[in-house]
Amino acid sequence: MTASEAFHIRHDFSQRFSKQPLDDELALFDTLSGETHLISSSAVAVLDLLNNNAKTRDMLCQEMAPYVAATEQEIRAFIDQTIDELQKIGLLEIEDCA
Amino acid sequence: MRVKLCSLSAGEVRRRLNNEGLCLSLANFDISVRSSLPQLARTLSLLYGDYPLGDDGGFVDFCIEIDSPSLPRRFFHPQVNFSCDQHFPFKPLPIDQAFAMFEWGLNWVIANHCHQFAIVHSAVLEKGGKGIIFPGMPGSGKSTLCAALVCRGWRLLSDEMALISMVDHQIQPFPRPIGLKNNSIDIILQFGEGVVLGETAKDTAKGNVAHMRVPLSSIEASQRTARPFAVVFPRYQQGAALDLRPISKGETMMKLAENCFNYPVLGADGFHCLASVADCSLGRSLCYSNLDQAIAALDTLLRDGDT
Repeated sequence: MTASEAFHIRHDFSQRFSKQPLDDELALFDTLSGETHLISSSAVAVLDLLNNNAKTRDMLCQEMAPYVAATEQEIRAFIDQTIDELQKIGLLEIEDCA
Repeated sequence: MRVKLCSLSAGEVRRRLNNEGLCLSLANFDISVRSSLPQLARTLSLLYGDYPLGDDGGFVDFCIEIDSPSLPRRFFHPQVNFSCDQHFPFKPLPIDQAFAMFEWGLNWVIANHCHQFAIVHSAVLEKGGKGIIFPGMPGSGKSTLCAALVCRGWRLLSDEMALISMVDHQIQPFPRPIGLKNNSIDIILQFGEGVVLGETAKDTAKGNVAHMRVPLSSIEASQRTARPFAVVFPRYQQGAALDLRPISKGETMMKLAENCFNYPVLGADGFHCLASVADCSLGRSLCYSNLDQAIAALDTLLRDGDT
């Protein structure tokens, strides 16, 4: 993950994934793979930040900071982990802003 | 009023099994059974005596045969084979497992053909119009708890599979004898009054297995669907204190999907069906060692759970 990489929700998200909010979590069904995923409430918050906008890791950390009681380092670790998790599911695409 | 199996003489049951087939009406399914095995005739009469017979010459959903695979196998280490509509999905088993094989085979038939339902590996019971789905892996104590609840007056919809309608997400009853294993057999014999069990099949792949007869009231209500009120994941643990605790709707959904036999077949429709059930139901995990305590906790859940 580099500083110039920006992440956005894949363009065909609504065609590929069926979704069902369950309280503050989100259940997703990948119609291509047949797999079902449960997105935690904190990961849903990151998805909301990415809604319609590509953002770098630094931008996500800055926007998340007001909402959590955590150190900068902890927020950065959380964002890295969440982006990794969402990428593995196939929800995110990367573009290079350099 | 349809004729019940118990109204037929033992000779007539054997004759039908040997010839045109004995047609049983099990909730919404009419099943034709053929077999030359007298022990199967006896156990069917004992455990399915209160079920109505299907119409003579009427439509049959599935034709099942339970018989020895070959003439020599009737005499040397006798075995039994299960087939449905001429298809043999399993290897033969020892002949004293004939009834257990009928039950296991019928489970397989429904799970592999009836995709109008999301079929979740679970017991389902109902009380006061509220259905509880009890998904559970083998050894979780699901069937023991199910039998105990039946002994205390809960309505049995199924011991083995929740048939959740893909259309309205209501649970379709499919009450059949409850499969008890090993220590559970004696536990339930002592727990309930008037419990009727078939013969114990020994040393099966699941250990010793006996099936418990379904109360007449559950059979007579088998056309009445139930709404899912709660999804409870039971776990028997010897000596454990009772622990009934909430789990999230998301976890409930994921566990329902894990336990759904035909989830890969149903695709996005199955996802929406199970997500809807998880969203509308209370999710709970239940660790128990004492049946009376577990039943009391479930009664409280039904009474207070949605307040």
